[in-house]
Amino acid sequence: MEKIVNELESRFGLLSHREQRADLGEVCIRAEKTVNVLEWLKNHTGYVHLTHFSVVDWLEENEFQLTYLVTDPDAHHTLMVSARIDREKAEAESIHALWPEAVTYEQEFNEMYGIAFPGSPRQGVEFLLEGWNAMPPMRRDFDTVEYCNETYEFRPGRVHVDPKEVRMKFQAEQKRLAEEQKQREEATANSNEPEPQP
Amino acid sequence: MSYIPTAEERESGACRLSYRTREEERVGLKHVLKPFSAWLKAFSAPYTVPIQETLRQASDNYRGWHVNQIDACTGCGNCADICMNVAIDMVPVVETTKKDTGLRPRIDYGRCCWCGLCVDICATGSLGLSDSYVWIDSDADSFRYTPGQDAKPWDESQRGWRKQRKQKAKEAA
Amino acid sequence: MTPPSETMQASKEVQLWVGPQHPGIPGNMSMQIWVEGDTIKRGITHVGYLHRAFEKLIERRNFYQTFPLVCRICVPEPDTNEYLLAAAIEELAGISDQIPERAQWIRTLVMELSRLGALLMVVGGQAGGVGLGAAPNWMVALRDYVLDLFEELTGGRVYHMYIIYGGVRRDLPEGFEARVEEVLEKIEERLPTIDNLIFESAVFRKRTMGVGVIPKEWADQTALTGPVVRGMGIPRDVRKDYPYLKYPELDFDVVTEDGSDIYARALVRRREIDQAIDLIRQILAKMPKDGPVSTRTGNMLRWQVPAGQTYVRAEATRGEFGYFIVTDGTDKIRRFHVRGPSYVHGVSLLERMLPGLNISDMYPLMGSLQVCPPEIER
Repeated sequence: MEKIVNELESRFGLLSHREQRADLGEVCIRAEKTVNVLEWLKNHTGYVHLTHFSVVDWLEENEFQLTYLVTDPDAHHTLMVSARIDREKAEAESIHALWPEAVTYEQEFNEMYGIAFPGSPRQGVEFLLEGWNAMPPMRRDFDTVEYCNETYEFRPGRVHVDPKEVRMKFQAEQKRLAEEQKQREEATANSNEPEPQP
Repeated sequence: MSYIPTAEERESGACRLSYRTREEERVGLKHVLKPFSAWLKAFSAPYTVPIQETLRQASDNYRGWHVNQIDACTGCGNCADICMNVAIDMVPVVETTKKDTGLRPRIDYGRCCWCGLCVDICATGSLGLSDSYVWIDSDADSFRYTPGQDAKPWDESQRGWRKQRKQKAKEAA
Repeated sequence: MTPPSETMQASKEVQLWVGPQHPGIPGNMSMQIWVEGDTIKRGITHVGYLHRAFEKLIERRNFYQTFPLVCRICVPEPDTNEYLLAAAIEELAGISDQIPERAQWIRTLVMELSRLGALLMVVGGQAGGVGLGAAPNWMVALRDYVLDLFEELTGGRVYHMYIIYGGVRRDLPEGFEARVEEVLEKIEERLPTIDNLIFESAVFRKRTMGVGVIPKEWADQTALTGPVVRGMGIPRDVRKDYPYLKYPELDFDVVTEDGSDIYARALVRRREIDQAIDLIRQILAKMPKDGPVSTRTGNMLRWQVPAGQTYVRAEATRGEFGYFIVTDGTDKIRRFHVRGPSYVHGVSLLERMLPGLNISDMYPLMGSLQVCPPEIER
């Protein structure tokens, strides 16, 4: 892992790198360099398999993280190459010229996250959802509960009582009864009090 | 390397090239006759079970319909909190006391997935899953019931998925 | 004015929709194919009938609420999914080395049993794709005995929900090892007849040898894994290359066949049935006889796992199954992404292989690539 990290650092410059396990490492790069790095890894080193390609939505930081997992099948090592792109202008370079199966991933992310991969075939073609008319659903600001309440009907009759509320009410009631009892006892004690001695 | 196969790939028939030799692909008379050895199995016992006579009994650990001991349950609501499909509602059944909220779980089988998490988290061990798995009814709303309160044929079942007492108790014994 | 060759092409090609309910399609997906006579010119895979939005559902549930969901991602082999989720979260929580020995052995046993059940069904399914009738029925019946074992062990036949963070949920029942041995003997007794019906049958051999050949160069150009790549003679197996659970202590070889056609892949799976039976016997012999089966993890309602990112992989019958999981320090998973082997095999590889194929060869081909729609679309 050291060797590949040093070479990547010297050729392209890394933002950070770390090792997760013996067979898994992560490097973070700038988004503009993604295709260069992957092309170098595929054609000039042993990392020829695209094992996976994923997107993580960091809503709080207003960024999408694209992670490409490339594997060296002979050295049994996987490298996670992560790059961050802006969430508003969600666009990234397509890698379908390097690996043809990336077309499916890019089609799905276009549909699910709204990220555009210019030049990739099948962008905008429906993959998993049919006739979808709301915002891209895998984004973290898409509220599934709200969507379900607006779109679907529920069978009536579900009523939930919160045990905490029942306990609090019960305790409040017990406290009120205890205070009333105390007040009544004080009133009786007052009326039974002997007259003060002259 | 584009996604749609090129004309050459189509014509060359990447699907037609073969790595096998002629010898390996040869099909002879023995390959026509050998499958008939399956006829010998016509006299073995069948695998199937006649379900009209006996309903197959489920295993000891089976995750079937819910059972609950109304007296042992304290209405804490752990089962409703953990249920990953929001299938459990707490509804008032008995009177509230200091140790008992008086609520009991009502399960909605339109959502329950029989994972058994409610049984594993039950504070008193009163909730369980029986080994009964057949329930036929024409009223769809009946599949939302309070186990232990609404009487069902499987209430007395002793088998099924129950909460396990801790390992320590087992090792101490 | 369109040139005459194009209009002639338009009247020669017929577009067919081989829909989601079809006996030849292994699962719930459609193929849109353009045929000229009997020959397929090109095809497009359509999925989406089984999209249940697992990845979004999981983002709203805490860890213990997640684990009943994942076994439903791949129905023939639910245990691979359960193990991968448990392994990934244990790694991120830092408790991977605290899992008890017996729990790891039981997990390996459950993985191999589920591989056995899935392989029995798939080899039968490959025969069914060619049109044979008795062999698939028998193999599904044999798988039923394996499901009976699972019912006894876990409480459910198909969705086991058994492998959990920290170990497994219950110990083995009394006498379980003996019943496993009975089922293995029952399977071994029937297998020679099944071999005669499938691999020695003239129909199967003629229809599958030399058909659906994948060129060997494609193994590295696209990420092919599993029996697809082992049928080309390349010995790649996740259990050997990236060892996990107790596989380093078991003795087995990677099964390969040359030929790279449908017959070779079916033969790889058939020999892996033998391998799975042998591995189960080894596991039962080497397993420690008693011990705890799970370790403490956090509170079921409130467990929080430190932020991190990881990728875990396992060998399913279809190939390399992987989970890419990102946590952010709260009690929920930030990103849960499934890498199903059929994502590559069923969409891009299949579409590349269709041109030039006969229509009736498409179904054995899809069976041999073991395209499983639930994991393409989760």
